[in-house]
Amino acid sequence: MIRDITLGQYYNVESLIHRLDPRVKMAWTFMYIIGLFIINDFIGFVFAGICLALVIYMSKVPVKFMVRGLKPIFFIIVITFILNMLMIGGEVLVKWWIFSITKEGLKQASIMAIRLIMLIIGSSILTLTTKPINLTDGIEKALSPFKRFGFPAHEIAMMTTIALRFIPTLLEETDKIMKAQQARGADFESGNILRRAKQLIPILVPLFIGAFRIANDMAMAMEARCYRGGDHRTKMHSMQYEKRDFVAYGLIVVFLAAIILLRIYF
Amino acid sequence: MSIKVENLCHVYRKGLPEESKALDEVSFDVSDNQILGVIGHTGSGKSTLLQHLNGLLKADSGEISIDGMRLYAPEVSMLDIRKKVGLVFQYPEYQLFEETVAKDIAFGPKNLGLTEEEIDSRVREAMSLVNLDYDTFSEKSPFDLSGGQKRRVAIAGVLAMKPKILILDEPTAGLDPKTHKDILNMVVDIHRKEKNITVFVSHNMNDIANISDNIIVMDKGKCVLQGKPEEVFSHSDFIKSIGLDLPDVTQLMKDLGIEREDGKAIFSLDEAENMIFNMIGGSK
Amino acid sequence: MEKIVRIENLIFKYANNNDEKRVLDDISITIDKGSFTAIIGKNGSGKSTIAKNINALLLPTEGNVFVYEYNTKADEHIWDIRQCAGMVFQNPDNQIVSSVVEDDVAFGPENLGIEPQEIRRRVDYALKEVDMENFRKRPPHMLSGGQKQRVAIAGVVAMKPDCIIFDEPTAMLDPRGRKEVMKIIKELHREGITVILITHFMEEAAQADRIIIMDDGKIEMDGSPVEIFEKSNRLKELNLDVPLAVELRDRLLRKGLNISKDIIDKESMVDYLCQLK
Repeated sequence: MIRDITLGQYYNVESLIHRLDPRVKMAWTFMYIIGLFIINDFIGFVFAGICLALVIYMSKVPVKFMVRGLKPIFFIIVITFILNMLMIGGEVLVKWWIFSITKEGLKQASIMAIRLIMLIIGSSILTLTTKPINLTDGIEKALSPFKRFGFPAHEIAMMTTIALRFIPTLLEETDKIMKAQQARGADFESGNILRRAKQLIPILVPLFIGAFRIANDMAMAMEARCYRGGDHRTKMHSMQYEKRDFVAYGLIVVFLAAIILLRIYF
Repeated sequence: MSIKVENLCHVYRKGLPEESKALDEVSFDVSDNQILGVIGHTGSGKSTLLQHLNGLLKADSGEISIDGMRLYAPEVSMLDIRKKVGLVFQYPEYQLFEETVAKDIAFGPKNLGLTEEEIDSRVREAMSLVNLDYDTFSEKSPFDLSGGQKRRVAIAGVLAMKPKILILDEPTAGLDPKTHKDILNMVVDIHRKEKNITVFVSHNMNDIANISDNIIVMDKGKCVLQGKPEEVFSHSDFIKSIGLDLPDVTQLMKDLGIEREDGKAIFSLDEAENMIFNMIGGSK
Repeated sequence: MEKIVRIENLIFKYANNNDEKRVLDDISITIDKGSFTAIIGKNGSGKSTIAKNINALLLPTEGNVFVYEYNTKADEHIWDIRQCAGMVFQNPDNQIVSSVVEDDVAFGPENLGIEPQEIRRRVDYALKEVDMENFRKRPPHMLSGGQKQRVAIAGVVAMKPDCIIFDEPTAMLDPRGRKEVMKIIKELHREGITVILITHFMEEAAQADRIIIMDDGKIEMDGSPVEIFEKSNRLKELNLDVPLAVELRDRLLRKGLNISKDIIDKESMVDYLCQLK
């Protein structure tokens, strides 16, 4: 059922990682990804892997949730691995027909695969431990310095907030409309592409009309509650950094420094 | 024509921690030419039940037979069911999508694969059943109509499939009192003319008491009470304990402590008036 | 008595409609501070248009609308007007902005530029007022219609308005939700908030201390519930419901029973009849 689709895969528990300021978590994710591309050796991945494992442990999110995120891209990982393995020349280990697997190729392929896996797991921590709404607030706050150059940080955040709010409503609406048209004998599953596209009209038209009605009502309700854009606006959650956030920022520097040192000296 | 529902069970989110029984061993019968009222507070399983009756949802266990046709038999297609059972959803006007009223009503018959002439005659017939004049409305955009008219068009869209069983989920929700009355009278008229089985859900106990032949009461996915309205509403304490109201007249008579000798609930104001007058008449 | 809303010869037409139909046709009303007024009429009678004119969401075609001394046409006071006279709409879904209950309640105060600690205080207070403090962290789409509408009311209460206009707040709710919302409306009125309730349910209007009946853009009747229900025949002509108690009263009167015109609700009817028993 369409209603069962979960968006923004937030995992609701209390943990230190959950409590961190979203800006810190975004910075961490960003720097972690950069770190992954600096690393070029297994020892680096072992270090990053230990850090990652530590964070996962602290976040109290079950490991299976992290691994679940890998499923859709498993195929991509395999392709990347094979391509890297076959394309890079060097000391030949196995040779079969026109394919040859080299030592360098195998190493490079493994590095790419590990990098991808760690990248997906690492960045899923951000969404697993941060509510979408807090993420939006974090983005708004982080981007607010760019407002003076005309960057619409508040507007983007507001739009995202409303979109997040109405995704479940619109999914429910779609479900209802589909059922109602099915009750009138509509069949969404058979026929060729053209026929199927045509069969979407009885769903899309009411859905769009519904969305416009929501937008219209929403605009009126927001105006009635004195909404007038981002100027003069305050926030209930003013997002003040706590001590732990500064510690986390400090640890980013340590993390990056360690990775660079590992790359240089090993 | 009949509906027979036996031990129907439906579980939402099976296998997940938030698993819940939307329908739990529901059984009831509806015989020919009846109006069945379905009541229960929001979330009691009413809407889930209706969606089973025309095959939109499939039960985890149990049986539904419509006129002897077992819904879950392998040879029965969805289209077979939809030809017999028409379902009008809550706020059905939100599902209109065509450029003209006539085209929108024709959507159902078209899906049944009927000929042009047959479709046209069904559209005309359905429009007359919902009291919309063909010449005035057929070429209008459904989006230019008033709320009550839109709802008529939406109901006509289901009637055009000529169902022998018409199911309506809160057909009067959100309407003003005048339109509410008009739509309710229309439903009763259609029932009389078409001699169909009508199943309708409502939160308005006055409507339920006045037009139903039989009532089933849903609570937490179970069918907890069924019978004629005057019997069902005579269990006033039970009805209230599951979060439902009594019809206004019934409630008033209960507050006054006036009862009929046979213990059945009182709905008609005429009857109430006479009983009240008799009660105080002696002391005047 | 201080007047909170003053409507003077309000005429309203939708600008984009070429036809000359007046949605509101020369309406004049004053609303006393602290009063509870119900505006009732069938769909298309213009009752919601009045509400939107008071909140400056619509502006008069002719005539004036004042909230306190502020004319709704004066741009510089528009935010004062909307803060003083808050508004709750019909569809509970389409007025909730955030996917967290308490963040939604904070939306109004945030727009007013209030200090974060004060917003926190107001949000807590408002959620308590509508009895939703246990739902503060919930996503609105998991709530019932009545609960959503209570959240919407909290969102207005948190702006500390003097007056709240309810535009058919119960039209889309089930009986339970309807009762919850009416209970809160009455509580807010008791606490001193001026209430303007737009509705098409007569049982709800009967709970106000003044009923204004609209028909076809004009004021058809205006008075206390007792005064209005004295003319129950006129109500029926206007296709409006008459409360059961009033209908029964009229029938008993016709039978020659000497029954007071003040009896308009079920409770007083029951009390009265039980005395006669």
